[in-house]
Amino acid sequence: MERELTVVGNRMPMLDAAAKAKGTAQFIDDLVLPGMLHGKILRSPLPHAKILHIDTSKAEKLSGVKGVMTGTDIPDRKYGIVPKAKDEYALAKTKVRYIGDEVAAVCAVDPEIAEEALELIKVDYEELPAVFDPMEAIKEGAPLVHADVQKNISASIRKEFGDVEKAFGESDFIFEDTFYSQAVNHAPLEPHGALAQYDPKGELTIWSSTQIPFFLRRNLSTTLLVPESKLRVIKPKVGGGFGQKVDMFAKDFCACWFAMNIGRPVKFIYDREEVFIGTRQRHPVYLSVKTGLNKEGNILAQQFKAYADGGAYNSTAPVMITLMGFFLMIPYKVPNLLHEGYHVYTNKPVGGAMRGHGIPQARFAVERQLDMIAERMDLDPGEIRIRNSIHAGEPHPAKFVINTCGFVDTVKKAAEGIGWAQKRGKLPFGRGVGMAGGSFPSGVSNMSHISSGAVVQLGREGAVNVLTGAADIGQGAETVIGQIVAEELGVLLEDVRVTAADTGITPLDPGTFGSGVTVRAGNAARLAAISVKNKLFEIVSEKLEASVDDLVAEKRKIYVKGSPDKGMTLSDALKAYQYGDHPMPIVGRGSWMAPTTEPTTLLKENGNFAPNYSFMTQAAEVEVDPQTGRVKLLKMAAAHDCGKMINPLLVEGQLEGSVVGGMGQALYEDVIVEKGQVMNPSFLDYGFPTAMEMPEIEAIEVETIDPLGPFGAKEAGEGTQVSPAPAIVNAIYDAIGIDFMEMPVTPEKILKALEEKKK
Amino acid sequence: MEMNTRIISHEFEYFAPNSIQETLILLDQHGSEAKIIAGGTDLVSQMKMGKHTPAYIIDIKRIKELQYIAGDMVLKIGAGNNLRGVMNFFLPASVPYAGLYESIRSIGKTQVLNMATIGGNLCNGSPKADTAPPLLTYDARIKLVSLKGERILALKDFHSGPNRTIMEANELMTEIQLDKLPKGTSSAFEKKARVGADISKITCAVTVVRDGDVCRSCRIALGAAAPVPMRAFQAESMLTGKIMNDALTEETSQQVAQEINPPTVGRTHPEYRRHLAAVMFKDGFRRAWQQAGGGK
Amino acid sequence: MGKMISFALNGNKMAVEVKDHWTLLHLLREELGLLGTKEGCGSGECGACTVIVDGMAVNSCLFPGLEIAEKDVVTIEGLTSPDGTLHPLQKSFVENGGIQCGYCTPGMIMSAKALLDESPNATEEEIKHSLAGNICRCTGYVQIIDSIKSISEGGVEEVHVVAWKNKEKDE
Repeated sequence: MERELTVVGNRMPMLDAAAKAKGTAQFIDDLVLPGMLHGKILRSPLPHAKILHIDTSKAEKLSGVKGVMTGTDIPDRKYGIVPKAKDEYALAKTKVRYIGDEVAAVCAVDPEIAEEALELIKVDYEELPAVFDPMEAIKEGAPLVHADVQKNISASIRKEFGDVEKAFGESDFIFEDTFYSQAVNHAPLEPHGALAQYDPKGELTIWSSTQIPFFLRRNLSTTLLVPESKLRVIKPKVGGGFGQKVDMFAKDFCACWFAMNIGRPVKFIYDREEVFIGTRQRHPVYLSVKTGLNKEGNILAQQFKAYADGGAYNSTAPVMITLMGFFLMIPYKVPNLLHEGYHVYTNKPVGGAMRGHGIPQARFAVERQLDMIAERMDLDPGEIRIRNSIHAGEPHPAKFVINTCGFVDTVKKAAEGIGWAQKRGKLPFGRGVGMAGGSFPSGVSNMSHISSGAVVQLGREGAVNVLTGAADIGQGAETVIGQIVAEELGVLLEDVRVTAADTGITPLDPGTFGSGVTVRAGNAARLAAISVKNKLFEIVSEKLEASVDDLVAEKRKIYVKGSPDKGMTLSDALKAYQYGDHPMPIVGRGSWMAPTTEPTTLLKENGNFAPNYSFMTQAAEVEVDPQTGRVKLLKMAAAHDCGKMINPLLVEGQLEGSVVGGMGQALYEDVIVEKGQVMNPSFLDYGFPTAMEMPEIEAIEVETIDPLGPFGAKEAGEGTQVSPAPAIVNAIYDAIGIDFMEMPVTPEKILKALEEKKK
Repeated sequence: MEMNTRIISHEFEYFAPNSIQETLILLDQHGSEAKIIAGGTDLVSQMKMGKHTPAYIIDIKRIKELQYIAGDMVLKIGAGNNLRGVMNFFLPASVPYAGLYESIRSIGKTQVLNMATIGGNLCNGSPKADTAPPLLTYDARIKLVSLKGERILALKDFHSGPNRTIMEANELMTEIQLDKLPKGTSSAFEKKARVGADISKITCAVTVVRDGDVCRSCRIALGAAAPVPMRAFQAESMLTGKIMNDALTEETSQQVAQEINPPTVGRTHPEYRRHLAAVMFKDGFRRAWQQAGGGK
Repeated sequence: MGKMISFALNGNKMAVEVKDHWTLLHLLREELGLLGTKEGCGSGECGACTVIVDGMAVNSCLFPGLEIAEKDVVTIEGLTSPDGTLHPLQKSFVENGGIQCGYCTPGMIMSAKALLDESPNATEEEIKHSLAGNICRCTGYVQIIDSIKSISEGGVEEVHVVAWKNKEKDE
């Protein structure tokens, strides 16, 4: 490296942290436009029913109501985040498929009148038989959630790497176990909302709490029949997403529809119950894993089968079951793998992308089973993980390209952090330690939008303006991109203004999902900054009579390497450029996509799936009260190889957040559904971990410098979420000797299991 | 579908009387059409969801006459004290009432402790009300007042069913009375919930009067264990005058488990609640016993 | 129905007509335009709407608007000095990573302020307890608690529970 990094690698507050601390940051509900109306949505009270007739006349007559719409008003265009799996209407046209399905919408002068109007809408339903469990839904004769989807299997995948049957034949040990991972809700603190405005010239602008402005634009365009060129999607501050704000929702469509038809701005804000029932949740999945090993404990083959309870619609279904399968190929060397995945419709709330997106469920099963195998084969759980780790530079069975891999180090350091050698198997009954490994792609490079663009402009006095399509939803994307640009241009972070996620202004970007923002949008921004820098260096090299290759940009100066005195300020360089032979504004453009062979053929052939891969191990220590069954997570040691950390303060924040999220999934959280009705759609009834449950967290860095990541970075967002839950459940085994095969591991289940063990 | 709106969506008239007398007159006028609001932590959220639609709201937060804690032989707690105030009064140092302190602390959320009142916690009639079990073990009495006069009754007779009390529409709870507890008394409160600031799955309060190794008396009450907060009288009687030992505690805990009447619907299995009741009694008893002096 | 009431908002005395069925949150956000206070659930469970009334943290989504008559109300807007200088707590949240998406932040800071106003040297245990009514889904609470501790412990600079180990560069 030419010089020490000055901006990248520093603990830096987020660019918008002060505005958020002051309460001046604008979220969707903080936007107010003149003449704005408020919308509300009527939802189905039945899990499965035909809509016979909707009478909106009374609602329309209510004073203050400005518009009522139903499914019959809207174009016959389905939407969905995956083009091949579109199956949703903003408002149901002929039938409703879950309790919470959208049936009608109202807009009025205030939200209370809109609410009142909903009660005046009369819907005649003909109730249909419903199905609530995926294993029931795939049986012959089960009610069909979508008439054209046989056995309710809306997406499936069967992918084999190597020859699984042969490898099982050669295995010394074969183990087969089944697991269940429950539904949990993302529950970002900010409820979902949208505000739309239509101008008489025909341009529609929507502010939406979205993670993916460009996907939203596409879905709105195809359903509203408005060209993308006339549609502008702007993301204000978004109060958390975790994947739940990936999709388009009725609020987006209906806000636009009303704005176009009434000519006034319209805002929809969901209430908390709607967030719980009417948006998305982590897919509940039934999983079975069959693993063959040789005597040394090396995995020879794995057969994996998953039935995901998708609820009433697809959302990301095909992507989810694909990711779940492909990423069984990391962090362990699985020379032969057969993955079968099924996404099954039921009359329940809809599954969608949630931090990890299918991978945490798979990882729960695999990491649990690895511990069970280690026990049966009398191996140390750490040892079996190390023995099976993939390594950088080695040929990969699926032809993934692993340039950097710190997995073995993460196992060792997490073990050290939790005191593995002194504690595993040695603590008194009721106390235990456990670990789980994981790995995650820094953005999948083979599905959907796969490239980011960025523009960097250098203005007066060295002010830098970055345009990026990346969507900051609180994780700090804008800050990380700002740091990358500042580092490359040799300015301070405070010199950089990031303008992001506005489809009318910023370049195309896939948005925030797949944990790809830092690598993909970061690289694009870096290239744009390099382009600006090159232009400056050209002029400076003439002025200083030095070679371009010898120049360094740092702390608002450009100088000759090794001679800081021989240089000029950035601002002077800019003047020299603009008043010299290049009287042009300095604009740099960058686009980046991961090097990939054939983006679309991966389902048939093997090949690389992501620019790079993060690796991690989390080790938990728990205390189980055998009297009450309560589990206390005492400590989590989390070792993470996320490449070069652009901003350790933010990486820690991701890691700590995911530990508490994983603790919720392992011990407390569960979207309980009875006959299609969510029984606990509130913070109070759902049971989130609070500050009082927070364990001691030790974050341990395992730094690798990845050749493809900006400044060596890899993802640090979603990957952190795959290991905490299995680590905790593995630690419970160490504490009380019971293998739990499903989550959450509630006190009630623990007591029951302890009693059965006694017998 | 219940919707939680951003304001209280139906209109009502709001009164903020400054005295008990004013309140009683309002109650007399509006009776069953009125609801008393103290902290509002339960009532307002229920009103937002349309579960209650009173035409009149009588906010008693301003009534200074309801905010006192005083007395010697009989400790009188104004019903309008917020939970935080009551909690701070009974800091754990006041051993006899430690159970009440712990019950309030277990509610967790600071905002709720600041807003909610002890009277409101009892008057909403919830079988889960956290302060009810310890108060039951203190044989607390409550004072209900109306324009027609006042009546004082035992707290154990106050709750009449899930979310119901025997209070008339024109009555106001003004006071909770606790008799001074004899020397050697201590109490403890146990709660089982999923996470710290959660609603209770089940709660148990134990108050014990100890004399060396002898248990002079023991009172046991449970919340979320029956349609109303309840005393476990039979279990209590097993301990009166006995020399304590582990076997007896165990035996009593089984009686506690027998005596509760847990809901059969809901997500928590009745047997699990029974098990928890036994465990919590033992934990609570052990702590109260030790606090009462010496211990094993 | 409405009633004219007077109260102090962030130190400024004012008189406003408040409708009987308004919550304090509605009054602040929709009527007075103070948008810093957030609504996360509307039923007193998440703490995003926390403001301070007469020194006490309350959930403004459940607080009757008329109840603030003759009282002192402090919102997140009241913490920043007119010249834009951040309150030490706000500054600490910014610097210690106590803010990710920022939606719980105003409520968190108000809860923290109410605590520190009362016990300036609050311990970690007290801090955790005082935040039990404020949910955060992003941070895992660590950096939030750090942010408050760095004030309650008298501005100690390095207060991270978490310390990155193995600082050596270059693999």
